[in-house]
Amino acid sequence: VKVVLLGMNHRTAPVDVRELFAGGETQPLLRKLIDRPEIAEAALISTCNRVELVVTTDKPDAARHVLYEFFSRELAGGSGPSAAALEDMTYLYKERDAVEHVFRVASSIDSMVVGEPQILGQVKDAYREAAEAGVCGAVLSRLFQRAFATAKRVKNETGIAQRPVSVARVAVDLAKQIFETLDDKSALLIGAGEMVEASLVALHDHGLGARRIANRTPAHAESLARRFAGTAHGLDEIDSPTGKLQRFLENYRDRYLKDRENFPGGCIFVTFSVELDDQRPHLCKEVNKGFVGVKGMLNRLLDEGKAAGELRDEVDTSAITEMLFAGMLGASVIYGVGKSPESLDHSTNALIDYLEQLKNKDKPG
Amino acid sequence: VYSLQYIAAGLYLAAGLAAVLGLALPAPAVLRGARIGLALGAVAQTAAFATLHRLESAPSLTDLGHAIAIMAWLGVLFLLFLSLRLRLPGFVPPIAFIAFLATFGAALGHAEIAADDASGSLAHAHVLLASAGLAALGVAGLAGLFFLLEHRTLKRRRRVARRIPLPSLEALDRVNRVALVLGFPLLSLGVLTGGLWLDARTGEIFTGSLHETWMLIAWLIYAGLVAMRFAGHQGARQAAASALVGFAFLLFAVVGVGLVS
Repeated sequence: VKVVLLGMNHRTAPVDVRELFAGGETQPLLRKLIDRPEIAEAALISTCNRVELVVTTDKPDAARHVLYEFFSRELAGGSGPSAAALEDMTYLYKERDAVEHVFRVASSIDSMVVGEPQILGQVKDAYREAAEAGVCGAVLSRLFQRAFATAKRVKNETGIAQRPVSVARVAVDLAKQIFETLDDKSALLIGAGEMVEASLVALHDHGLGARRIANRTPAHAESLARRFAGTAHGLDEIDSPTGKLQRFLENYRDRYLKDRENFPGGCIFVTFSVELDDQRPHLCKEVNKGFVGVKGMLNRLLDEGKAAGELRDEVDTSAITEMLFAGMLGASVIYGVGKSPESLDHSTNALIDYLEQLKNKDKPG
Repeated sequence: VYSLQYIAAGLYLAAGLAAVLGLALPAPAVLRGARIGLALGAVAQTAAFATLHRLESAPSLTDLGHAIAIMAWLGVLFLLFLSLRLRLPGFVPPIAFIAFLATFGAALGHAEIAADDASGSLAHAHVLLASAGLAALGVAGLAGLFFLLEHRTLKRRRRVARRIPLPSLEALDRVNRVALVLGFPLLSLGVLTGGLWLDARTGEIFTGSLHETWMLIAWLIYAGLVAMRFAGHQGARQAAASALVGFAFLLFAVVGVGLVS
C-alpha cells in the first residue's frame, strides 16, 4: 500500500482558484472517492490556504489520474480548472515524500505564517471527518497519529511556537508597524472565514476605528459585520464606481463633517467661499477649484458606473451630479447650524438611497 | 563650574544605556526610566548653561564644541516635546549618546572665552537660532533614517513581529513634518542673523567663506526639499530620504567644512 497526496496551497495557486475548492460537505465527497477501485483510504485537508487529498492505494499511477479528475470535477463542483490545467497549480507527493509533507503541514512548517497553531486543529478535523465517514483505515490512521505526535515534538522541542503567531496577529503587528494608532483607521477585510474573524477580533482589541467586510457571499459578511459593528459588502463593490461613490458620501459624513476635532465648524469651505468672495478673490478662486474638482469626480464615477452597466441607461449623470453635490452641501449647511448627527445621517442616507434607486437591478451580483 | 555639565553628560549616558536595554528586552518601564533620565539630563544642562553664562568670563557661544552642545541640548528638548504625543522609544539611544558626547566634549574642552565680536546679541541669536534649526532638522534626519530602515524591512517581508519597538511609519512621518515645520524657519532665521552679524563685523553680508557658501547651498537645497514636501510632490518615503540627505548637507556645511579647511 502506498500513500499519495495531491494538493494546492498558497504558494502554488492564487486565492481565487483555491476558493473554488473550499466549502462543501467533506464526508460525502470522501465516500465518493473511496468508491473508486484505485483508492483504498482517503482524507481531505481543507483550510483557507490549502486543499489536499491524502489517499492510500495499491496502484499509485492510476490513483494519480483519479485524484486529478476528482480534484477538478468533484472538489470544485464542476467549476474548477481542467485536470490538465491543475497540474501547474498542484503538487503530487508519493510514499515517503507524502508522509513527510503531512508531518510538515501538521507541524505548521509549511504554513504561510510558520508556527501558527490553527493548522494542527484543522488537520485533526480532517482526520476526524475521514474516520467518521469510515474511509480512514489502518494506514492513514497511523499516518495521522504519527503526524500529531511529530507536531507535538516540533512544538515542544523547537522554538517555532515560542510566540503565539497567527495570520491575525501578523496583521495587527503589521498595522502597528505602519500606523501609530488604529483608532482613526478603517480596514477592509476580504473574506468571511476563520482567519478574517480572528483578524477582526485582534484588530477590534487594538481599537480599530471602522471595519468593512467584503465577501463573495454578502450574507456571510453581514453576520460578521453585525458582530463587530462593521459594514458588509459584496466583492463586486470593492472596485465598482457606484460603490466608491457610496463610500465617498459615507466618508464625507463620518470623516469630514462629523470630525469635530479637525473641522470644528463643519464644512469650512462653504464658509470660506462666502466670506472670502470680496476680500480675497484669489483664495475664493482656489476654493471654487476644489468644488469643481469634487463635482468632476462625482460626474466621472457616475459615468463609469453607467458605462459598467451598474446604473440604468436613462440616468442623466450630469443632472444627478448636480443633485448629489447640492445635497452634500445642503447636508453640511444643515449640520453646521443644528449640529445634529441624526439629521446629518438622515440627509446623507437619503442621498445613498437615491443612488441605490438609480442602480440597474438587472445587473447580476 | 563645569561639574553640572559632567552631571548632565552622565545622565545622558545613563539614559542612552537604559534605552538600549529597554529596547533589547523589551521593557517599557526601563524605556520610561530612560526618558526620565534624558529629561533630568536636559534640566542639568539648562542649569549648566545658566551658571556658565552668568560668569564674567562666559564661554563663547560661537565656539564649535559649545555650539554643538547647545544643539544637542535643544535636540533633547525637541525629542521630549515630541514624546508627549508620539511613541518614539527608538529615538532615545542615538539622541542620548549624541547629547552625552556633545556635553562631555564641551565640558572637557572648556570653551574659549567670548571675544568682543562674538558676544553681541546678533552672534548669540545666530548661534541659538541656527542650533535650534539644526537640532530639529537633525531629528527629522534621524526620523528619515528610521523610516527608510523600517520601510525596507516591511518591503522585504522578512520580519513582521517587532523584536525592538521602533516607532511606526506614521509616527516617523509626523516627526518629519513637525521637525521641518519648526526646523526650517529657525534655520532660515539663523542664516539671516548670521548674515547680519557678518555685516556688523565686516560691513559685508556675504564674504564668500567656505562655511557661508556651503551653508547657503545647504539652505537652498533644504528650501527646495521643504517646498516639494509641502506642495505635495513627495510621498513619505521620498520625504524621509530628503530629510536625511538635507541634514547631511547641513552637517557638512557646519562641521565638515571646518574639518576640511
